[in-house]
Amino acid sequence: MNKIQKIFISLKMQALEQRRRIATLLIVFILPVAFWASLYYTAGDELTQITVPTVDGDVKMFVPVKKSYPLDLGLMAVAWTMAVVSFFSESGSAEKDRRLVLCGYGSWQILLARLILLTAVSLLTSVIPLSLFVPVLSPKHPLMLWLSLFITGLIAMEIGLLIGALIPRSTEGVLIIIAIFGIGMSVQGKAAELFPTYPARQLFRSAMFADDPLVLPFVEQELLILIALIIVTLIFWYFRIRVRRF
Amino acid sequence: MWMKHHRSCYGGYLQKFERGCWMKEGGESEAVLEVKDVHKRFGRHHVLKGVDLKVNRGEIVGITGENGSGKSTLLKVIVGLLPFDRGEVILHGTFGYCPQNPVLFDDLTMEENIEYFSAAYGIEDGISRGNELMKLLRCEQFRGKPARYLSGGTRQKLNLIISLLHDPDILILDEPYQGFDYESYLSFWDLIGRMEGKSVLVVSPMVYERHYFTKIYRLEDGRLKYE
Repeated sequence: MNKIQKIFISLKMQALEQRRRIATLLIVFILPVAFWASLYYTAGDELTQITVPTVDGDVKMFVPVKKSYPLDLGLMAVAWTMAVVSFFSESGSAEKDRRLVLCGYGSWQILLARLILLTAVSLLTSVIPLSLFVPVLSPKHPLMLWLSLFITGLIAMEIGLLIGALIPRSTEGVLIIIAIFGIGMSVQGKAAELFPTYPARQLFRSAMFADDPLVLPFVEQELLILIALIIVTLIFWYFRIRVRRF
Repeated sequence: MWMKHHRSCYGGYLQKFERGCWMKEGGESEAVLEVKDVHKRFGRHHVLKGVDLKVNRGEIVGITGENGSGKSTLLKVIVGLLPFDRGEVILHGTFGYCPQNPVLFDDLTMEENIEYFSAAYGIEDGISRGNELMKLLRCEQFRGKPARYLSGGTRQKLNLIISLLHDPDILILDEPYQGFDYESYLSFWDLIGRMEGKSVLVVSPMVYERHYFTKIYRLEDGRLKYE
């Protein structure tokens, strides 16, 4: 049995595990929409000023409140749910994965299979809210809007995996996730730029409101962050589940 | 310390089965596992204070001891789950390890667990081997049931089956028959009896039927004492 076959079997087994947790997956898919809808349908029609990145630089715009904050909340929910699902998929299976490693799996093979599976989950998590945002909000660039949701999910997934590799206890892990994304979405100005989902959030605003959206720099930044997070996660995950090889 | 471990394969020896174990030509027993002066501390608690152990091919070795005496720690050190502070562990051949608490994928069925761990071992015919073992341990009727819905005894059987899938040279078992009914207990020893030429290291706080064992040690004050 070669390494690719091993990755494929790990992917299949992790997918089977997720299939039997259908309630969890439903919550993951519904929660972002629920967060957004709860604010969208209760917000007023007053205007608020926001900064929108465009190809020609940042532009200040007045947009209806219900088109701004509810979306931020929906984006935060995508990040939270993806991070929490990823955290539990990693942290919850640490002992079992260690037995697999003891029996001959490479820690990277298990992690790679998990990354592929969670990327698929992230894809679905981004498509479901988009299917509502497009008809209700008429974004300027729906495809870019989807890209920002998907990238947010990917970054959140990686942060969830990293915290899962680092923090053995679930309560602490979940609280840290809440803190990272909660604070990341709340802070304004220069401090906001320090958070890993900031470029995706900027892309989101640009896709929603700008005629000429700024895409590439944000995608590049997020890709770099994603690669760095994957490498760091792999290192910590290796040390978390390593065994002595004879 | 994650060093000082060796692995070697059987090679070139002329072997014969004598006195319950395989002997090298000339009458010397062939060691499958050698543990030499192994020390392990958890902070100030010195759990293993120079453990020496040799398991020869074909032997069934038992280790008893009180709760908290370090039996499971010793096994974890042997299989590589725990690093140790001093000493040497030498393993000649492959091993199968059955942990005290079943480590299983609860949302996967028995058969899926077997398939997953077979892939880990890199064996193609893991499912047929698993089916054979399920029959021997009388649990094949549960093969399609997710592990979380299995009884404690059946989970333990699956735990044991996983450690046997690749037909290891030495089987390292941490309280393998806890939760078994008497019939399953007998099936377990029947299965062990069929493993001709293989070695077994069993840890259990109590050893009831001593005739099953080639040697029995007691872990006391961090050292193994021959009983």
